[in-house]
Amino acid sequence: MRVQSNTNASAAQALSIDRLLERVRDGDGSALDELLPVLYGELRRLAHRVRARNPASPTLNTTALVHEAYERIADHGRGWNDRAHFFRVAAQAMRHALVDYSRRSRAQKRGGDSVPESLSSFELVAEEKTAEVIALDEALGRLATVDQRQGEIVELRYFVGLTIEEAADVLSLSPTTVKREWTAARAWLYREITR
Amino acid sequence: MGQDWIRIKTLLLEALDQPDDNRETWIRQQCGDDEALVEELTELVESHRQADSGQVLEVPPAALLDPEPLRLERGARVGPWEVGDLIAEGGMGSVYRGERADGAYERTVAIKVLRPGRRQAEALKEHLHQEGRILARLEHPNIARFYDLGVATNGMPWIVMELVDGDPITEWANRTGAGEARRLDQFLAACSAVTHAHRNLIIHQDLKPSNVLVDSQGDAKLLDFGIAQIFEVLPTKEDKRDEQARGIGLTPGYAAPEQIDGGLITTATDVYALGVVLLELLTGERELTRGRLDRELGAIVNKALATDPEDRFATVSDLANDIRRYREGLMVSAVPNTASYRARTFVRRNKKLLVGVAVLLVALVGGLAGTLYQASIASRERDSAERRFDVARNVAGDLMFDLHDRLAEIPGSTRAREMVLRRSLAYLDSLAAEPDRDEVLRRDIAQAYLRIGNVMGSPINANLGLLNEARNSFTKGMSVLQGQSTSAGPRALPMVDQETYARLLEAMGAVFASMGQPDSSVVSLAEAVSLFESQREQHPGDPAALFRLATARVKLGDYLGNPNFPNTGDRAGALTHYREAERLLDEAVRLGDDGDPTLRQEGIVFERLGVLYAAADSFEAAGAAYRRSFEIRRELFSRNPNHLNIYRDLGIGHEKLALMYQNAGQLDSALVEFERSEEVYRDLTESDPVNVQAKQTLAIGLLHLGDLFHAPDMLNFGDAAAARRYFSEGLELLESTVEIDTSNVRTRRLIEIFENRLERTK
Repeated sequence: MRVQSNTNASAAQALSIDRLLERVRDGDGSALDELLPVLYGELRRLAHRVRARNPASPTLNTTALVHEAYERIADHGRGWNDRAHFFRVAAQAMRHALVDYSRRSRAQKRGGDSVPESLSSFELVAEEKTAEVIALDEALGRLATVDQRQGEIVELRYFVGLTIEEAADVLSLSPTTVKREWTAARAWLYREITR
Repeated sequence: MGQDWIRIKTLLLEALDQPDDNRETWIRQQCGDDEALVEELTELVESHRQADSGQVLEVPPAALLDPEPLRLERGARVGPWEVGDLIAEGGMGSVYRGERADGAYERTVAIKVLRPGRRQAEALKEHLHQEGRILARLEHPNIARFYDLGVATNGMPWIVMELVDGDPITEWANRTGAGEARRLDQFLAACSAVTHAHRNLIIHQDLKPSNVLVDSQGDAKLLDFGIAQIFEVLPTKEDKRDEQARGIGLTPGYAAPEQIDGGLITTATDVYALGVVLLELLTGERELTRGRLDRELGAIVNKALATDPEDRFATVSDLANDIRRYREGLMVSAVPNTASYRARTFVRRNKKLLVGVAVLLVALVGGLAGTLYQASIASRERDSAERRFDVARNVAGDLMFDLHDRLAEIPGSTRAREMVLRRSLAYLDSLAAEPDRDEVLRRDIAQAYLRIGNVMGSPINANLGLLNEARNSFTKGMSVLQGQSTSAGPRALPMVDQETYARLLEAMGAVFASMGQPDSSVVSLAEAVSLFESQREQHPGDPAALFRLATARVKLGDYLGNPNFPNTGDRAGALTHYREAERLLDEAVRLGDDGDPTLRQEGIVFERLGVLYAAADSFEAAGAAYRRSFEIRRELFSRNPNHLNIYRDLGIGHEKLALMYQNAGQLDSALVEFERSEEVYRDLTESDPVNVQAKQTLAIGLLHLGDLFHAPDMLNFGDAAAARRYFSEGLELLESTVEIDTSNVRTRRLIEIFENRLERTK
């Protein structure tokens, strides 16, 4: 019963994602705002499901998730099969979700009382990571205004975790081009976020 | 930036294609005299170099959201620890061997790395810090030692613990073919570890055989305490429907119903898991099949596995205590307390006693005691006069008192004890009346009088409320010791007799106090204290002498100025003696005596100090003293679940804490503590309906509860009707004891108090 109802729920969700994606493709800006949280929720739910099937899987990562999300949505999609577009939207969804998460967690930290002294061996890289996400998001915003292609490459590489080849496939570019664009973008972004 | 950037990135990529030693020259050539461009390119080349070597931006931040377990490489560092071989890997994370990377610590440790929990990073930091401090407090021989914790560079929390080389308890049992006794030993060790953790506010939440190991030395070692709290891997209410959350940290078959339903996790959750472990350890299965366990173990397991946490053992020590009781042949709480169960338990227990005593005990339970017992006395009285001395030794030393002491530990035995003692007393009287008594026999008789008197009426022990008989018995003991030379005084006696004499004086003092004569009481006790003091001077390194002196000083303090006892109103004197007693007991502990009696006495001293501080309105000092006392008693009770006095002390400990709460205006907490003490007192009276002291104690408990609901001079709930119910019950209870003991001043005074309370709450 439980499984059945879940399937129905996600089918309904997939359909709504499908509709939103179509609206996004048709240039409806508000649809993107609606789509991102829905898509992110879907990705998370999929992550849970995949992990429940294979708890110790060392290979499960964001890329696999996005692939699976795409397959599921494509199955339900009435004519929606623009895989590249889907990945670009998914990348924006991940970016949106991660930046949102990082902002919230840092705001909470500022709002909280004093943080106690750390343990002797404390390394809190997760905290650094949230700072990196926010700084990168801002820098990426500036980069995308002058070089949209680089912006998309960074989104796919950084927020989704696609390889050079996968990103090339999604963007219909040669891997060499993607690699060069990525290298230049990374150098620039790195300087921006470490200044 | 626009067009600039297109140009810059093209130049950058070309610059990167140049050989390292030529790059700077190449940039200068391309840029001409555009110094800004040179600077820009030089910076970007440097950024590229750093980003490339540091893998910056290569690791997607999705790990923040995606709780994927990431592996650690051999040789990687977490904090000061170096990761070694992978030991185990599971859904929750991985365990590695590890060592201190800086060599500051030689031992090989276990490093457990977990998938991050739901907590956000910065909250995690604070949380880990607090949990680390709590975990560091866990020091128990059966708990794998905690060393360190933190968050690794990939965002995963890690914890470093003692590396335990052992087998899960069930595998150990199968491998070694251990019998039930050894299996239960290991299980009790595990219970003691969990109890220790619970006292430190740590609930394990994932107890299962693979977390309860038996190491190569054969010692039980529990792993993973604090993991649940640190990493919050268990579902809370809001995400109980979340499949993944449900899948983490819950081990099917061991998880309690409230864990699966997202209910409140309490210490009862660990009781449940321990119940499953016990069942599996004893039967090899995780479901109880009828007949696989004997009735009592089955009942214990069933109680631990109750669906409603309220129906389980309240604490892990309760579970452990029931197992101990089962092993000692005592009644277990898990089995309903019926007459036939009591009888069977008695019989089983009796196997350990002398056959003759066993027959007598069975007879007592069956109601045939009188007949049988008289038959045995009659046969002794037919013995020749020469044998009487030997019989007297038995009476004084072995049989009767062994029987009595064993009976005294069993709830419900008062009537049987009274009968045994009256017979013994009559017999002693006839021996004492004989003219030619040797020294040893005299000593035995005096000691017998002391013991009989204590059971008859000493308020210190569970007593039969026979104050006059008790006082007579002590007087007889003293005169037997002194023999013909009464004028010389006790200090003329041999040292060993001085001790007995002092004990008789001490007991006499307590009985005087119960009779409402604190002035006489204080005289007897002061004399006892002075005799014990000279005993101590004779044996300076003897903790037993310290203990006796401390005990006597506590009693002297009680009757000098403790408002809870009939007293002479000398508070300062009482305080002096209590403090001196505390010092003496400390010294005894330093000399290596931390046995139950010493601890118990320490618990008493702190409670007494609490009473005096509270009476002087020093509530802070009183609170500290009560808390100390309560902790000591809890420790004692966990050691001796079947010991009446200690059980009663625990009730008193709850009561004192409750009074502190009431004074502080925390009425709800006060109610909780009062109800706990009432439960203890009720258990005591129900198990032994003719024990006067137990009824008085319960009555006082009810008095406190009534006062909590309505009292003119204390903070209270202001509910006169509720108060009346407690007062009426208390009065009824006290009136029922008057028939047993008409001369008990305490009972009479208590009755007056209850009548006043009822009048006031009308």
